[in-house]
Amino acid sequence: MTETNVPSTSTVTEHAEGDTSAGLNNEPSSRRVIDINDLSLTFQTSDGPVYALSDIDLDINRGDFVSFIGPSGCGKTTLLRVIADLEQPTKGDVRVNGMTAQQARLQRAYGYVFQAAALYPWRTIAKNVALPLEIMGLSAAERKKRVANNLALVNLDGFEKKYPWQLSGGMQQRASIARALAVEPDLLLMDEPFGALDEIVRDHLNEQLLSLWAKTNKTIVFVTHSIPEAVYLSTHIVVMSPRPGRIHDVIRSDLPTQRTLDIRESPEFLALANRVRDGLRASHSYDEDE
Amino acid sequence: MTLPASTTTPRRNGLTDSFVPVITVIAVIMVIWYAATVFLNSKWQRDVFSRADNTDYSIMELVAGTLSQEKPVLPSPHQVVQEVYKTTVQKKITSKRSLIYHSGVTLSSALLGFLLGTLLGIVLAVAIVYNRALNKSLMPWIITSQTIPILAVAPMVIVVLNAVGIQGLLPKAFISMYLSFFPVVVGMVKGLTSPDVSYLDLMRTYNASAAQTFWKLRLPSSLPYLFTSMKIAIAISMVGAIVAELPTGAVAGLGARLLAGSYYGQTIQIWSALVMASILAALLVVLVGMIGKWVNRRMGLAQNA
Amino acid sequence: MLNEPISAGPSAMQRKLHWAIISVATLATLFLFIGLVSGSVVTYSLIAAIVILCGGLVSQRFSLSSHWHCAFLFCTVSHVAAVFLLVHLNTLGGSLGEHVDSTLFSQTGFWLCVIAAWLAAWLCVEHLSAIHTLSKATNLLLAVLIPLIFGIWILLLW
Repeated sequence: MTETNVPSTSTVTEHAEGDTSAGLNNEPSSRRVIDINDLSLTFQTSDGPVYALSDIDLDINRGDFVSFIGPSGCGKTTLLRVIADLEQPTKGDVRVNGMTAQQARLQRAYGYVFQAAALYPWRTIAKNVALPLEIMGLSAAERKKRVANNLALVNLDGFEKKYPWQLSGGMQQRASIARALAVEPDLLLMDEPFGALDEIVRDHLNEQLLSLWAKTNKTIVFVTHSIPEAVYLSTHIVVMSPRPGRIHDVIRSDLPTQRTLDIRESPEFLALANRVRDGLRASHSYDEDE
Repeated sequence: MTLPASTTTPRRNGLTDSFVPVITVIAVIMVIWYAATVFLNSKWQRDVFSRADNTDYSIMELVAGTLSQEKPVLPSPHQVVQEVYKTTVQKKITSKRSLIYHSGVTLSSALLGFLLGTLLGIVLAVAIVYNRALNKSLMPWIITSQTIPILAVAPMVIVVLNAVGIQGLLPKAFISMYLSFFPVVVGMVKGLTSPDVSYLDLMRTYNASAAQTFWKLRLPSSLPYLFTSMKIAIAISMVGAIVAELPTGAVAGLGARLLAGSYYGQTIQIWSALVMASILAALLVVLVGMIGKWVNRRMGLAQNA
Repeated sequence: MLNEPISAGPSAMQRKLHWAIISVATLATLFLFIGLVSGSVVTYSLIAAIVILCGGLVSQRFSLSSHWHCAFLFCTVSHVAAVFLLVHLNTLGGSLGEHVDSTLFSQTGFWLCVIAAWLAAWLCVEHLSAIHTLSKATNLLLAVLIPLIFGIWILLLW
């Protein structure tokens, strides 16, 4: 908890536009988990080039909870995939833990969670969570231990022998998170993980995710299109704009790290949410399609 | 997939779902068969009566006559059943006249061809999925190979193989294999490429090797497709085995029975062999289907299938 | 089909095949040369083997990263070699069964040359398949060309 030195005032500190080169907290670069410089990604399609990402500069430090928010097509998922080495940039570079994105992927430095749970229907929950561990080549005893630990972390202990189709959507997503945590990465990349769930389940899972973050102190990069979710969960909110995909603003949140759901009624929260909404509006996110 | 399987949907019983319609269809077929028998055999029957100088016969006598001719144009169902009974139950299995013996011969080559064809199909499918060059160059030829009529190819193949010294079971199994590998290739290719791209991305994030992705992801997800293809493949390998027996005048097997029957005008013999082949093929398809369902259930795919 | 990232140059398997073709062509040349020296009429096959060998070396030397270049190279090499090999078969035509002029070396050399030629054609197909373009016309052309070459070569082999 002491690592994120967020002052406990109730004012919101807005970061100046474009001035992200020194890091979000002005921390030394050894604490930088993700370091993105001048990143661009252009897709060549039969209809012409698509500028998915354009001149992205971003730094993320250890222990941050960073949300990418923006409308569809602003490149937030693409940016996450570039960090995960699932897409290759056409310009600029990405460093994860000081290594290239590919090296980080080969070393399994992160866990990835998709919007769909992507559990294997022919495996039990326990075997699903054990999948990355099998690929890593861990012993059976070690696998069993980690599976038990991580299922307990997401409050799914007791469901080891069930099949995915026997679980509700929220529980499947929790199993998916447990699977991402099983390799014990320091970095968690989540692509709209609660997007397909209803609001009640989503609130519950938001709470659980926050307590998990507090307990394990991981760095989390979270893609969402929900403003309340972004403001509730994050220490930093990256507002992105579409066509071409670029970062419009990075907003630092000064809400206390111990948050309950009630904080969503507080004036500080609403001010932050308005700040995010203004950013989205200013970046033409609410415009009609040209 | 958001709620556990509860009791809101009524339990579907596979047996009653398909049993009743099938029985109904069979009953209708029987009725049509009897009617057709009477209709088709009546001309010959009238000739018989006129030759015996029998000019006042009743309809009932006509019908009874048509249903029990020795070499009818269309045998009636009970004649076929009698013949089947005579050649299965009342003959020793090792006798050359036993339908069971002939069925065994055809079945053995069909099953061997089916197994070989499935194996070949799986190997080809894996090669096609993992090598772009094979995918683009081989696939069109595989599809073309199936457009050649099998009745034209079979004699050529059997003659060539016999000339090289391969006789008996193997040439027939080869024809069966030729016919049955195609559905397996198509089905397996579809199955191996069926995993959604997010599953494949996930494997990339785990830095899984191509072999690990194959054994843990692609192969299990292709099993439902494999069994569907195998149902088609086994039916068609029966066809292949019978067709392979026709051109070279084989003496054993259901195709041979068909041939012998047509030489001597024994239509009842032809039909009994035909019915036996149909029953066997149906049984095999059902068997493969049951195995497929069992595998799917074991793999927890029953809910998705 | 495999959703793998598109790489620009020849893949690992293709590179192995490149080396395979050079080694087979070298062996073929060697055997055929020995055969020629000991009196067999294997000139044509020898030429074919040398052609393939040169093609293989060229592909390595220029480390052609373009699939089109590699494909074109192997296409010409393999078809030229095939012509020469067929001509050789033709000249043997009258004396089939007599094996007057063939020694073990020339026979082995001939078959090695056939294998090398087939490998060259296969590499042509491999490179053609590795081309990724967005042009519908090119894709259509390739879709026809690749199976065609493959089929021709099955025939040629026979």
